Amino acid sequence: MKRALATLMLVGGLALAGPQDNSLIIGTAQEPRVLAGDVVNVISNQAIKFEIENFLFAPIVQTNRDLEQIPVVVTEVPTQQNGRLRFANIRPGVRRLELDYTIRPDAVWSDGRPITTDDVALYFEMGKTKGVPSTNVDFFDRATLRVRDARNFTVILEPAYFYDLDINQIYYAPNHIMRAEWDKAKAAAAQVSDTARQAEIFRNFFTQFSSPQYLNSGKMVYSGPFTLTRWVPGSSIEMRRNPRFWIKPPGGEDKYVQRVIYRIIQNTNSLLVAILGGGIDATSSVAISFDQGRSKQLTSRAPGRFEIWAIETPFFEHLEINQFTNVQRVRDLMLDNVKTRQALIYAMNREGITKAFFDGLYTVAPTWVSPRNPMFNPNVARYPYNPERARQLLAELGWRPGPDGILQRTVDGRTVRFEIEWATTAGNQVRERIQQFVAENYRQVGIAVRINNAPSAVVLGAQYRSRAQEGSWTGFLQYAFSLGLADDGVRSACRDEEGKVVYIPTRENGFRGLNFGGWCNEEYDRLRNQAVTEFDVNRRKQLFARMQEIWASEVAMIPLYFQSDARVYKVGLLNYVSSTFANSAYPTIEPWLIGWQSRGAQKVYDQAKYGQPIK
Amino acid sequence: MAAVATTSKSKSQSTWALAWRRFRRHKAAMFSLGVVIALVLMAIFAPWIAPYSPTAQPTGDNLADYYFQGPSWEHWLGTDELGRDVLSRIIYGARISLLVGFVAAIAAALLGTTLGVIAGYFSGRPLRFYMGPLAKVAGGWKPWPFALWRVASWLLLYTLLFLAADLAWTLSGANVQALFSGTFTLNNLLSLLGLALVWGVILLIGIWGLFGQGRLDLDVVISRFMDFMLTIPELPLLLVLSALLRDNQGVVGQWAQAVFGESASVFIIITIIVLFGWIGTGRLIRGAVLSLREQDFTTAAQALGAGEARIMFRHLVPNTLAPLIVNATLAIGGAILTEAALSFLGFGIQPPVATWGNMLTKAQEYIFTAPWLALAPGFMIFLTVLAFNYLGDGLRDALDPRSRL
Amino acid sequence: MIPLLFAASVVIFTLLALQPGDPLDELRQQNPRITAEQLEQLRRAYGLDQPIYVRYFKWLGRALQGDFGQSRTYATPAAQIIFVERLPRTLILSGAALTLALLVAIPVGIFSAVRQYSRADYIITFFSFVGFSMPIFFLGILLLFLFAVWIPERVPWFPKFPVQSISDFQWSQVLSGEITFFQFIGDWAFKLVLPVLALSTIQMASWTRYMRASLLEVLNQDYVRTARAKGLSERVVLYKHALRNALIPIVTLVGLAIPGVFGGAVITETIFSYPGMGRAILDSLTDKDYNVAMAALAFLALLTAVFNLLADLMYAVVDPRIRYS
Repeated sequence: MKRALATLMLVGGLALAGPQDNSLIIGTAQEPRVLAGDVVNVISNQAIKFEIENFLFAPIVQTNRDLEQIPVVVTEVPTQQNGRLRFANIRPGVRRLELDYTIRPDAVWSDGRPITTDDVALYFEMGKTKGVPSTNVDFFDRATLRVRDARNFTVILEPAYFYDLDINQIYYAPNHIMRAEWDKAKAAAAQVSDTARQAEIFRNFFTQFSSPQYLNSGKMVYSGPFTLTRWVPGSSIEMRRNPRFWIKPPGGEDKYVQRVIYRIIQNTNSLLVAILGGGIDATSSVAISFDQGRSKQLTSRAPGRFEIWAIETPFFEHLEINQFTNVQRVRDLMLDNVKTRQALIYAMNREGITKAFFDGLYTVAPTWVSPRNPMFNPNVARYPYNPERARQLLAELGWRPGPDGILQRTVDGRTVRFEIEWATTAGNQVRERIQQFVAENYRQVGIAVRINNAPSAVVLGAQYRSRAQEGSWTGFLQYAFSLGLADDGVRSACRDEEGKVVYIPTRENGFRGLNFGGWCNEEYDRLRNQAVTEFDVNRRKQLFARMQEIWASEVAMIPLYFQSDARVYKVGLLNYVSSTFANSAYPTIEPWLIGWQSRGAQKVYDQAKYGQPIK
Repeated sequence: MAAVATTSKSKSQSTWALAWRRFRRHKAAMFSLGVVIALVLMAIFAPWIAPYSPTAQPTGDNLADYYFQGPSWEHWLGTDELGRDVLSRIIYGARISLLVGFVAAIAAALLGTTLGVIAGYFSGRPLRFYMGPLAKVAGGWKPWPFALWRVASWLLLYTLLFLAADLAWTLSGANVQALFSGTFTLNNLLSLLGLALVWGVILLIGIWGLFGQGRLDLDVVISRFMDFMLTIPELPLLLVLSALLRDNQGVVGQWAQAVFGESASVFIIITIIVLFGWIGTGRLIRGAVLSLREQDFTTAAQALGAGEARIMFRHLVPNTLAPLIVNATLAIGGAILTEAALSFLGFGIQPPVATWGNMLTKAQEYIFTAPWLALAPGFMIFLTVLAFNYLGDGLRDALDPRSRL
Repeated sequence: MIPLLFAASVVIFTLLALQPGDPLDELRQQNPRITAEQLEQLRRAYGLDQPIYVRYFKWLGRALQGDFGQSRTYATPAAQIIFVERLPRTLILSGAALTLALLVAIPVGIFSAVRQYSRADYIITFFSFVGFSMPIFFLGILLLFLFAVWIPERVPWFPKFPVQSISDFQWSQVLSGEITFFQFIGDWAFKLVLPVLALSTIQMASWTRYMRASLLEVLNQDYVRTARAKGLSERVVLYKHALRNALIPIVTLVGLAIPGVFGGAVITETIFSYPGMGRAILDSLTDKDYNVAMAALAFLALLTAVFNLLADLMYAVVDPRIRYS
């Protein structure tokens, strides 16, 4: 019996994991739709895709965990000092940026062919071809490529924005693999005039080079420190070390991880069981929830086995406030009045939430700018929990306690109760918990909360979220967003340089724009429009500092906190480190450094610098 | 004749008395009746029974210490993720859970049984839904409601034909004018030909209507409708409904708010559960009736001149009780859980209102932090379903005329 | 049946087209810098600018030729995802679970009915309701935790059950001789133990109840009494007379349950990481991958219609009294 079971175990593919054979098993709750061939993100721009592709493709330049740019495929990062970066003023508010790059001579594909400007050219051609439904259209509309020779090229951006220097948007595609098919697809698309048909042709082209079937055939080439060996859809993705990768980690690459396997376990409870059982060496950025990371089953087994870390992400959890005065409910509650919004924020025990729900591992956010963002300004109006102050502000606005203890006032002969609607994504336990917690806080100052949740497809759909002007939601809307380092405050903006309201969804502009609550401030808009094209970090910091001051004193939104992720690593795993802004908190940047201590890998990055331990 | 009537009356009284006597002998059923009554009383008198308010949260500094407590003397079933008393939430939760469970399961069973019996009984026997005024009246169809319906259906048909003819005339009015004003073109000619054609068709239908008759196989209609309902995927339908109901600019959203107002959620949830819940019962009953109607007792009842309705509901339905009761008991449990799933889709019961279903769903999130949170609501659903099962068993035994007790 | 399928496909298509949020919502969320014109361009690229009926007839025209379009989320044709990848898997899991549930539930139900109101009957009833009231997520996680963590931590020789129920072995590896046939079958079977156990436990409960109720009903009928009075042995009465009639409603229910087998069990599949039909449908709906959703739902509609027809015909087979005029 025992022997039979032992055989079963071996058959079960429960091979030795971790340091024993210098491999790494990563558990993830999400499966990428495609990998590798979808270079201009036509089919997918999921986080997990980018996270895994970090292993497979070397970026041109990389923002590392300390937010410095390091060259990977090219020899140098363009700066004004080395003369590779040039500005030109085209007209007021529009600047042109030129960036010169030189590809390293030893940069090669996994089949040994050198990476050349042909590969970069193919990437730009794909992105810029009309009819390719790329999700980064805005970049390709602004960018042009000038190839100087096989290794030198220049990228010109016009108009250029400050974040063009902070995030790398330039990639390349294997010309010798994809070119022939690409020319065919392009010719086929030119034959038809129907946009939908064209898009389908291009989608099929990208699919052809990114599907599991194609990647398993071994025809794809890679440029990263790993190459994909097998992808079993719904189950696992396996990668092996690429001996041709040009950057060598300290002490030799044989001391570092040789094989990486992603295990896809969609249900996070099941994923946690897999971690507890020891089958998973590390979690990806899409894995267990924060609560699960703090569960006793895990923490009690952690000593000597696991490290559990809380990593702050750039995802900003907040409440948007409907400030469209044409909505009856908004006028009744005077939500467009700063005093009301201040009362609402004072009456909310946000410190209590971060302490009671998250063990103090979260901190209350003062504004939408993350404390880990260099643009962060700590000296803004903060609103510590102060129900007394809230009561006082509300009384000044004419609210008096009614018979049921809820505040009321008389408007045009009508009696109005202070009952605020609060909508968020139904089934999100953390958000529903916060709603109920705050409802209790609010009851104490005489504000009633009417919770009105719906599935996220409904709440975050354009028909609901963007229609605050039509009163689709009348009070609070809770969700989270992130623009990472590229954040330019567009989600609180109102008017563009010409003074047109484009950032607030209104009937006039066809409900476009992402400032759903409709907060509008002239000074903020002026500063923001200036900051977007300000390439000098210090001057931009000043503009951002003032923007945050206005935002906070006006209570444009109610900031709650920046979400943190729980990450679990086996003890002894080195350089699998996440930080808030480097590549959206993916742990897989500079993946050639990931290794096991017991196999001789050296520690370069310390997780303690970028996160807090969960005990 | 009078004598027969009185005996039948006294007999029917004794039938109920006999049933009650049989029921009382069924120990498990009696016990279950007690449990169900206790549950209902618990739901009604929740404010007096519950030790705490179901939404009362702890106040103070170290709030986390009050969360996820295990069972203790203060909190018999522990506390939940906001430090609220689980026992109190279970007691209050009974209100919506029992309401939704009972009403939805019973309504689905009634609807399913009615339609299932009709479909099964009339299978292969089409119903004449229309009969022209000059048509020969076939034998066997003389009840006065049918005569009434006959007249109504003539009126309906001829009114519709009139309206169609009128509409066709109005639409082509301009073409007729063109005929006299001298600006007649090929287009006008084609339009007039169309008008003539439409009128011709209307005339033909009218003539057929004098002598003809329309037949309708109720079984085909009901069965195909059930098939159709079964093919509709629930999840997308619910998502669409969810969006429609909260779109306060749209017709459906405004209508729902106007009609149901604040208590819309429970009605909507029950309606949805019934809408999808009756089909299983319907098919089950239809299948059973298809067999039962061929049995001797049905033929006997028909020979004795019993009305269709009487045969269906006095003779056939009681014989399908066995699977029906199992179905309905399981449906109660199902409905209680479905309520949670529907609330998850944004149909209504919003936090902080407690129901057993949403307590159970929420426990899923905290299964590694506080696994016992799943036990209390799970046990209550178990108790309800078990009690109803025995109650159903007892009822069936008591009402079954063949029962040997 | 054809009009029914047509109507069903129209309704399903319309429902999908009316889903809240369109595929571009996600995009707008992730890339707020996209301009109105670019968004309009993408709308056209996705064909979202056309009215629903145009899209429906385009879909229908292709579907009738067997082309269900490309999946938006997986780089694969929708038909391949549904019919080649997901359907066989789901049939293995749900089919095995249903078979196991019936194999246990029918004898247990018969036993329970024959010994009505005995102690054994009460125990069986109790457990079948425990099974029925047990939420599958709870049972699933409990089984996983026990067999993958708790027992192996205490009993060193105990095989650690995998959390992922799908085998990494593929049939092509058997053909290429990389692994043996028995390794292949063994691995699949071993990994399916827990999900099949969980799913069938839940189903067993209701099947036991239905079998018991149905048989009890028949045992009370006159002809059974007649048969007994004739002096036939209890065995003959039970198996020859009663059981055959008691199975009629069970056949209906099995007929109704079979499309469900094809539809998969979404929670079980999710907890045990077994990508089958249930997950395919749910994921395609949340990802707004309507080609996949449409292929799966239209296929299920077809199955439902076919099995309802078969169930009708089955009545006549098991019960010769039923006539169709």
